Amino acid sequence: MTKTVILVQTIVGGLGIGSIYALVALGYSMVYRSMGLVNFAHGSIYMIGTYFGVIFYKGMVAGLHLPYWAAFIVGILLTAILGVALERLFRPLANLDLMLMLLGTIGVGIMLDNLAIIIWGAEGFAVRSPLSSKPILVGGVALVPQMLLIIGVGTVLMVGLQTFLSRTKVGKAMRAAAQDREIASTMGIPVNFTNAVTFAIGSGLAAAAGILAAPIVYVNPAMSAAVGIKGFAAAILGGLGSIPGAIVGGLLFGVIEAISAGYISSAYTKGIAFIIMVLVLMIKPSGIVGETTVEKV
Amino acid sequence: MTRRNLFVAITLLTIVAVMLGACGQATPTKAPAQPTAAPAQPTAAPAQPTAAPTTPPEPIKIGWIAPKTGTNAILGEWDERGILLAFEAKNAAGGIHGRMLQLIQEDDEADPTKAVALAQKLITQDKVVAAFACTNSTTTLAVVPVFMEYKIPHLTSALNAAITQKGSKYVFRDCPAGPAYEKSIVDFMVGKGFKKFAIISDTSAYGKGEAEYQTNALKAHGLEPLAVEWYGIEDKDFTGQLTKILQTNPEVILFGGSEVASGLIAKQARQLGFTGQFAGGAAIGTTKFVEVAGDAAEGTYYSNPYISNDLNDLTRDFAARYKARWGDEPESHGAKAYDGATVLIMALEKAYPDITPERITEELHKICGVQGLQGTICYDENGEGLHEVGIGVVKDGKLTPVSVK
Repeated sequence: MTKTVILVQTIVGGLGIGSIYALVALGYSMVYRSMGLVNFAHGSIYMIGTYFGVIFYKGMVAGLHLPYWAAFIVGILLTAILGVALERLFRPLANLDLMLMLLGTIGVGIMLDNLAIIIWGAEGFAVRSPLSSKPILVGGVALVPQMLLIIGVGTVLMVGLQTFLSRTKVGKAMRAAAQDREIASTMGIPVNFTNAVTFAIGSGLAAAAGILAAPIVYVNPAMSAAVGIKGFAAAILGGLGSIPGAIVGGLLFGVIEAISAGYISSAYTKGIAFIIMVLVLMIKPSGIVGETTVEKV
Repeated sequence: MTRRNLFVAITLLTIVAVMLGACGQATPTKAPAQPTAAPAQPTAAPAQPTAAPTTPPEPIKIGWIAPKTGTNAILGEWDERGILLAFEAKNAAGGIHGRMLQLIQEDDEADPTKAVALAQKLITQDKVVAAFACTNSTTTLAVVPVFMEYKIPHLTSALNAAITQKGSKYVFRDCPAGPAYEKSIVDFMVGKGFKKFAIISDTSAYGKGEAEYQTNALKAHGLEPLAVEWYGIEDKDFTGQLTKILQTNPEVILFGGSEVASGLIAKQARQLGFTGQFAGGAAIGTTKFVEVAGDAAEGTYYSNPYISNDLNDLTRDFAARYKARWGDEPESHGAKAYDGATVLIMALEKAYPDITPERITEELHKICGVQGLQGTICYDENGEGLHEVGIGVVKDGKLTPVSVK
């Protein structure tokens, strides 16, 4: 293996896991910009979303073995519905003190985690990839089909989201509501509705990330913590509240992790990724793609 | 506002109910410690027919600290199953002279801070006379001083060698220590003619210990690992570490970490084009590793004191009862716990009627020559009872013995 091949291989691995972080980070950022709420239950939504899809793929519901793509869609839809219900639950928190907001979402996260343990058990399981596990070799770089699927579907979802927000009426209404709640209301935009849509999309994206990642990770209720924190860190790195920021932050976080494991010290991977996040924030507090934050009073 | 909140609550509950309904066969909540089969008063009846209120003799309280939730929850489950199998059989046969064994279970989530608090709770509030604590090296290392302070004997199934070297005479290991596992597998692999090894392990006490024992075992053959790479216990992507390892062209990748992570690593290493051999210690000879690694597990060598369910009459009987009680094939962790429970029961029998922590400790130290599932158990002054480990291989997705110690 030449030096370039090794570098490319490391970056590809980082982009794969980074796409997962990006999809999760999008959920944090979307909810934050539209409701001013940092949703710490988002990692748990990611975990529940994974189960919602995987249980149909693995035939855990009435022996029903759906094909992977169908389980993927069912999982996203169910999680979006859960998202709408959670938005309703969180609505009173949006205007409260930051501390109460934080506690409220953390509490719901713990509840979801434990619910998953009660329903599906603490143990967890491995999920088979719907694609071949044989890598495709391109110039010495091994591309794992499931990784390519993650990067491909992730890109489609992110581009789709951007188009939805900038082109469609609902998307524009969501952006307007995010910018100024009161004025948007007076213009006839149903703010509560746009918030619910925001939550549904954010949750659906987290489910997509989880179901895509399921064949390369191990599915268990504890999976919420690690990805929840890294997704949040990615959102902050890119600039909390910014959609392109979440994507850049997620991909970058994944690549930094992989590179620090491959080139610096694998024992301190996590530490290095977070240190870089802190450094970026010290130099540019609004994050890499950060729009200057609109102070809501 | 309140009406709307009520609506939300009802919606959420409905979702939960649907989920529960849909997954009827999901893992049932574990049966509590006490079995229902145990006869209340097995040997008392004829002697005093109308004697004053027959209060059943007080149960013997034994503590248990292990993870029941989190990534390591499976360790707790295996441990619990092995112990309960032995305890339930003993209780059904009348307990320790009529006194039932009661297992008081606590979940440490593999977190040393929680483990210490739980140890204190079990000792001071529940007043246990002995305990199983813990299944992880990090947590066990944390509780050893607590049990030492209160002079309560405890059995551990963790592998870090330092556990029995902290000067406590109250700690007993129910399996061989880490160095025995790693020396056996490294000796075996070197014996097969392999010379180029790389090590990948996690940064927990267990993972660091195993990697160190592997390195030492290699050094004894005049070999150095080509690479030693690390990961955090919750990591899922190992591309960076593996790319670095593959650059050194090893013939063998040695796993030092836990079963799930090692399984994922095996899978990812094959996908990155590694065609060499996998090998490892205790965590690798488990059905969980095979499940997670899938096809990539094929041909992996591992060292394990409990090499097969089909080794002798003792293991066959254990495997049949385990399967009948829990519905799964047992693996090494369940066997370790069962051996631990067996020697504890023997010590309790010998200590009777004086069931105190001091007497139990004394009797545990005297245990020698007991035939367990993993071999002959004989405790030395440090609390090490087993010293040799066999070798197995994953063949057609099954754990298959190669050589037995």
